[in-house]
Amino acid sequence: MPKVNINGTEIEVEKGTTILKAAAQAGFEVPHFCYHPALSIPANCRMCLVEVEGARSLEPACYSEVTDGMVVETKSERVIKAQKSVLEFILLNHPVDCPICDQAGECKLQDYYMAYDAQESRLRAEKNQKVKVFPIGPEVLYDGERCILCTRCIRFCEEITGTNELTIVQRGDSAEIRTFPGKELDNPYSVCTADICPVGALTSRDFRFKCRVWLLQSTDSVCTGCSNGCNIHLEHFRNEIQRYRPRYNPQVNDYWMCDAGRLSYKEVHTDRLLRPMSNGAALNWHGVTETASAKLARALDDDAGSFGFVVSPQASCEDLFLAKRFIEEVLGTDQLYLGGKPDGFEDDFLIKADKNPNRQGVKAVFGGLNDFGDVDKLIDDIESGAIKTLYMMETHLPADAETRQRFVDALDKLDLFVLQAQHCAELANQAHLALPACSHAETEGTFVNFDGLAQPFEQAFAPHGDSLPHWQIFMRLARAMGQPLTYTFVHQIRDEMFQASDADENGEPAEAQAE
Amino acid sequence: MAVEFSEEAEATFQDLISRYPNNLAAMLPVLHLAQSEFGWISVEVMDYVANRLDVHPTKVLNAATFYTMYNKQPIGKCHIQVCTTLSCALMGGYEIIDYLEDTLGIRVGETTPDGRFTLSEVECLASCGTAPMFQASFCDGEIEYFENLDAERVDEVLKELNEKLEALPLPKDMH
Amino acid sequence: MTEEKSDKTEKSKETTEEAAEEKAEETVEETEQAEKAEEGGEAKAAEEKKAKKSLPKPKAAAKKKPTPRKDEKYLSRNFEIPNAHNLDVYEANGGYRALKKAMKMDGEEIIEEVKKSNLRGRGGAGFPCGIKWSFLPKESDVPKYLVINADEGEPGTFKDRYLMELDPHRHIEGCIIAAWALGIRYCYIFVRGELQFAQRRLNQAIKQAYDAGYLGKNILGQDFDFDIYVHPGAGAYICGEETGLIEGLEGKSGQPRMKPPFPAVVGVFQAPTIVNNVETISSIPFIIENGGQWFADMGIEKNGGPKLYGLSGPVNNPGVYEAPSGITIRELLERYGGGMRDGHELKAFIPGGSSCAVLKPDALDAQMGFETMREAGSSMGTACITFMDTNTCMVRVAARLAHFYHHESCGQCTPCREGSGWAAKVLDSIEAGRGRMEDLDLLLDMCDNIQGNTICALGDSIAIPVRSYLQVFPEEFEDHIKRQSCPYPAWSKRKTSADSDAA
Repeated sequence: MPKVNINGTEIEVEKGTTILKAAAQAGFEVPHFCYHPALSIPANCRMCLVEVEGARSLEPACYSEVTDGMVVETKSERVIKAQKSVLEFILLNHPVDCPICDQAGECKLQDYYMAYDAQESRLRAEKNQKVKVFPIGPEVLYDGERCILCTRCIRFCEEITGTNELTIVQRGDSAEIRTFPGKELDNPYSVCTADICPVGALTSRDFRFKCRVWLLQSTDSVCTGCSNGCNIHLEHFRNEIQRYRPRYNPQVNDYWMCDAGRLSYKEVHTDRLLRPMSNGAALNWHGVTETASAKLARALDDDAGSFGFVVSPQASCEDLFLAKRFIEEVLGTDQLYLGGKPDGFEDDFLIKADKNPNRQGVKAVFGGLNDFGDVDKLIDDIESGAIKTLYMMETHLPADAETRQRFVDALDKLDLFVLQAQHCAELANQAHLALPACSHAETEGTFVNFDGLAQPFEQAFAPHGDSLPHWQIFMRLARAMGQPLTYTFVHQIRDEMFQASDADENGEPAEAQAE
Repeated sequence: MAVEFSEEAEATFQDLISRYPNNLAAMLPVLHLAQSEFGWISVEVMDYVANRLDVHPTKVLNAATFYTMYNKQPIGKCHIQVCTTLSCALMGGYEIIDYLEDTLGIRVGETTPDGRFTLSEVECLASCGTAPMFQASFCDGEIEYFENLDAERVDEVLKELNEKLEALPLPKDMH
Repeated sequence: MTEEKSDKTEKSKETTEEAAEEKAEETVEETEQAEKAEEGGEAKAAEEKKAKKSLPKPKAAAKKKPTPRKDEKYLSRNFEIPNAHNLDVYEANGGYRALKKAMKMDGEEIIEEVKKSNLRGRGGAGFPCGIKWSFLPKESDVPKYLVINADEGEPGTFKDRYLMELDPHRHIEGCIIAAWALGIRYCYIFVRGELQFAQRRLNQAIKQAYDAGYLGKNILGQDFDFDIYVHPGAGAYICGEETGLIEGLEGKSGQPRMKPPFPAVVGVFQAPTIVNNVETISSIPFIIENGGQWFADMGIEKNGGPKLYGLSGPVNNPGVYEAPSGITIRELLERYGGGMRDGHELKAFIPGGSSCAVLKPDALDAQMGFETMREAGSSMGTACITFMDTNTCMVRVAARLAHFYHHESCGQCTPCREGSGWAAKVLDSIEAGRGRMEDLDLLLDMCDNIQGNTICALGDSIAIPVRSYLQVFPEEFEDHIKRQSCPYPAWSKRKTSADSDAA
């Protein structure tokens, strides 16, 4: 294991370690643009040049491997001069349009300028003009003037997605990033290029001009777009999610997430059921709890065997655990159906066909999926009258539009339809009782991804409107119906849940990795 | 796809790709072949070449825009490229350009209205001992150097070229 | 041994002197002839001038290039022999003898001879060829490659072109010998795209070589297969950089690679590759025929062998000439080049292509050789000299060269991509009379910030010359700034360097 001396600190590293990584190990940051740990090393930005004893020129730290006995200086005069010069060269033709650039506040060029340069410009000529606001893809905009040609985006499309949409056209300081004419940057992970772009050359169209990044609060969460469970930074301002960004997790999604998942935050703020309703009239929780418990109690008296319950794989494990207790202890029904979104597109990278974040959670909490009926059975049971009371979690059904319509039409046959959901989806008006549930952004909990990995998500902001987490709604109803399920905090549910689970190897929630 | 190699060009193409262990390596000579066949490297031609080489079209775009000899727009039948790097500049390369601009009635970068000549200024053509000079590139792919120029010689050459160009098509009509 | 060696050097000096004297006589004759021709032409020219705009003077009629003695010529021996590019003529003049001799030798033997010969790379860097060859691994799971750098693009340089056009078989012979010695299976000659005539001559010669059994399978009846292909470039000076060339050969844009790994280990198609210049390989047959020691003894120490020199600019006899190393620039200028043309006084010269530092006439007695030229404050480079006269503006020259590098920068790394354009802009403004005194220090700082910080040597090629113009002719830059204009005659009535936007 070679020993290397960096700025006077001697450390031992694995053979093949680059100076950049060794310096990080020793606690020294070496600034860089083009290097990215998940991509090949082009060493073209020259920002990471460091001084190596015995070498005539400065060496790129991202590329050069450490040798035994190497002595490296990352803060010598020569290095500082080189850093300033590289920044000067980059800023030479850079438009410096920070006031209108989305990258401001999370821009490496800004950060490094403040930390390593802070000199005035010596340019007295015109800057090169290039293309701006270029729609390089349906989700991404390109600005040629801001681009520093680090090629991270090109390498991402070559090495990660294998789609090769991007290339450099022309050469020298006329060079720009482009797609083939007539084609777009439209792979399912296209916005990742905006994530890894160190400057504001590639930006997300969805996020454009939406919110300054220093106003954002970041919450560690998990994407609910599919069962992959990509870890995310859920970033919000004034109780509204502004965007998702992928959170590094080498076990699940590395540095990446798909565009569809990235945009799935919009569901939290679209078509929300925010007030408890009874037959279309808004109530408060007190009122609806009374009404609901009364109606449910009467339905149980009349015909306990005609209860049906739709469990949602969109709900968290904690929600599902309470749902199970509510179903078993309060309702006593065994006619369960599995809801959730229908299957969709999948690839061999991150995107899974199952568009629900927690099917594995349903499996874990209920001990399997065999006891759940599918949509066809649900519709048949309603139409035949086997089900007279339906308690439905969330509004999703794994069915095509035609089948869903049949379900909607069949709802007339029910004596009592209780909907407990985030969204209205035209069902809330049909429900006798509509109980507003909150999204994963407004509570904390756990999702188990397709691979069986249990991942926690944190609360970003308080529930919108009068919505409440599913587990709290079940608690309220249970108490009103005389069979309280007493928990105060989510972790109490979690502890009990993990104790109760049988062969759950991945018992502990996954540790979130720092980026 | 509308563009396709002629029989002769196809034979050349097959010979070219047989010289390399992978098709991507044939990119430069194949683009030259395509330009001589189709007059210029349009998006359609790039797509065709990408298809024939079985590489992603962006690879062709990258090469075609990096190298100066590939015309991404249709230009004149004859591309007069006057060298003005040091030795040629010292020996009157810029004066040759001035003279050509006057004689042809166009500025550098432009094409004569009859589509015959495009005039460009280029970098060193490895002809420093016979400066000033220019390179004439024809739409059929042929390249000829005209060296040791002066006004008289330029007139002679233009006459020669004009005769030759009678038989050549306009690049914009070549596909 | 030393006596013999000095004897030989003496002899070669003598022959050079004699040859030079002959040349001087020839030059005098020619100048007289030329003058006569001019007088007659002058009246006509004056008339023409009225009709057309001002142009370079009409060249003298039949201009004979002075030639060194036949027995002194090696590399340029076949230049004057008609049809020497054809196999029959080449063989009749002793061609492919070296190959036959080489194929009776062992690969190691040949590499040793090349090492002994002190053959330095003729592309500009001067790296010892024998040492480069010894980097190639003996064993390889994949075929090894020989790649010839025929992408002659260094401004001022035009020698490789003639080697390919006029003596292609010599070059092919050199390639085959190299392949035999190094266990190489394939060779690509990367010829710049514009030199189509050279490509044609090479292709013709290659076909003739195949037909004669010098290429292909079982060459000369031995277990030795070797193929050569000509690969055209497409207009990029950066493909003259060995890894930029390899990228172009692989079908991509010519962006140089990081080194290490070096091509000898990871080259074209990820295989071990030797990249050599045209003239370097064309020199190989002579080493085989006459021995490495003979080669090393020609010229000054560590700079063995015959060498081509190019002369350009306003000299009487521009062109390519051959002489051993050690010849002074003065000799080259006066005896071979026929001196500066009438009315043109020497002001400065660049000894080996635009990437070299500029020198003043006080360096004329420097000897051509890699070490000697470095001592003189510049470099031998490609040994093609550009002479500049007192009517030439050094600021404009610096600006024009900066534009050249700006156009040719591949754009991969920050200092070269941005610095080349900036240097060109600043130099333009000084030349146009809009400069300020701070610009001079700025340019020097820019050069320091570019040199050594780039992926390839193009960065150095911008910094070294620009810095040299500033340091060798500071008064000219200051003068431009003080008077806010350029006092020298324009190169064009319309265009200035600032308009230069080639390709």
